[in-house]
Amino acid sequence: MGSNKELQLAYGLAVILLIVGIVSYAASSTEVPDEPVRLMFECATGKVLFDHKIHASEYDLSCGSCHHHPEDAEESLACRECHVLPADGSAPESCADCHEPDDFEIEAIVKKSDVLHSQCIGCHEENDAEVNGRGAEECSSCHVSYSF
Amino acid sequence: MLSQKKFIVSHAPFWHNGSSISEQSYNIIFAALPAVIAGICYYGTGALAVVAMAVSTAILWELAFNLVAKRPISIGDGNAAVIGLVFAMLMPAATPWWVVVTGTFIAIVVGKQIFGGIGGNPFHPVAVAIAIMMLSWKNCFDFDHALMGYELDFPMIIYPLAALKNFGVSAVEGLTAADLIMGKQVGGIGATFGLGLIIGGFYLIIRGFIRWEISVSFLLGLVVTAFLFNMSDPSKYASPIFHLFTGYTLIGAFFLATEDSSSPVNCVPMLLYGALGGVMTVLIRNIGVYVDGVIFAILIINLLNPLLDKIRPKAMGA
Repeated sequence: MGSNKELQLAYGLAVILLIVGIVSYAASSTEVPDEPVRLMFECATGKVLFDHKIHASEYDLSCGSCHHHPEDAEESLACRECHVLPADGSAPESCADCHEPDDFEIEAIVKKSDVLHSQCIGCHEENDAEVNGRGAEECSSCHVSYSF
Repeated sequence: MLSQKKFIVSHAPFWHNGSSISEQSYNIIFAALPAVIAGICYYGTGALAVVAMAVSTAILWELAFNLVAKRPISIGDGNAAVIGLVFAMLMPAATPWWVVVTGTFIAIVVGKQIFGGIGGNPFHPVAVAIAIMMLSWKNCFDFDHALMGYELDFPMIIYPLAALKNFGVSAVEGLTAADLIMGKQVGGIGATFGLGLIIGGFYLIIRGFIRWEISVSFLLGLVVTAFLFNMSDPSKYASPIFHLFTGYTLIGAFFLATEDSSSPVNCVPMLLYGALGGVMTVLIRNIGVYVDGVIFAILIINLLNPLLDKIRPKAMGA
């Protein structure tokens, strides 16, 4: 192959693959599933990979088993929308959408980490034998220290 | 004695045997295709996007550097395309476009061109880029994090090396060698289909584009070290087969460690270089803080390359 042909091949590759790349990125960004497949909870004690699909489809759980409020919402809210308090100490915006400021106490809002801990640990302790034997005796049963 | 003829060269004109850098580059791309295609089949358009963007931007970065530095246009030799492709093979599908563009910039400009271009780089450009990216944006190389939107039909939907490191050997007992070698495991786009990588690697060895001494000694070093660890405590350390077919092992042995510029040229140094890479990989995986040690092991042996090449045949008459 002559050097001119080599150069033309490289230019061709660069242009065609750039177009393919842009189109593929555009196409793959629209492929977001309606329901999450897996979720990664990030916390100081290490990330936790949560398989939403398995919990929703194989463990015979209804959405309401975890997503509790508001019950009649068309779209379920992410946990953080209520259980992560703004840094200024005010009430989360999502609470004020339905409640008057005097209807609830900010101190009574449970932190997201406590919510998830009690949800995960409570359910696994109840159903340990039926689920997959991964109880919650140790933090390292769920939290990972090494990720890359 | 001095009049003895040691090396006879015929008169000009000479005839070029046709071998060229571009031939080597496009053969490496051809050898990598089975693993890349398997990755695209498993992960879909997300993987295709990363591969296409990486190859394209690697070529464009090289072209841009050539123009800025006012040097001859070198993209025709295909080396930039190889760098882009190998970089993409190590990345998870669904890597954001800006990570790919930044990564190929580091590989081409920082890893290769700053050292004078092809043949001048002391480290594999892709290993340099991956190491920098890994330490800068660690979530991009947390395969479980990067691939959490994918529905994968694999026996285990956790990155095997991360499962081993975090949950112990019992967590990966369900994985069979057949699943691993067929690519049914979470990992880089072109790093998981072991069979394809082995076929590609053998092709390159048979055609003489890479040296068998490096690949074979890398794999032997890894297997023997993993075997010794496994023998010492099978409940704590995984089997050599697991280490052989997971993470970046095979792509490291055939596509990273064998790069011309950053690997030795003599037989004994090549064997030592490869074996050290394999040993270092298992040491990092088993007692280090990183899940996969291949990238750092490759960088370490790249660093040792000039030292190892000091072991060479004595010059005649010296």
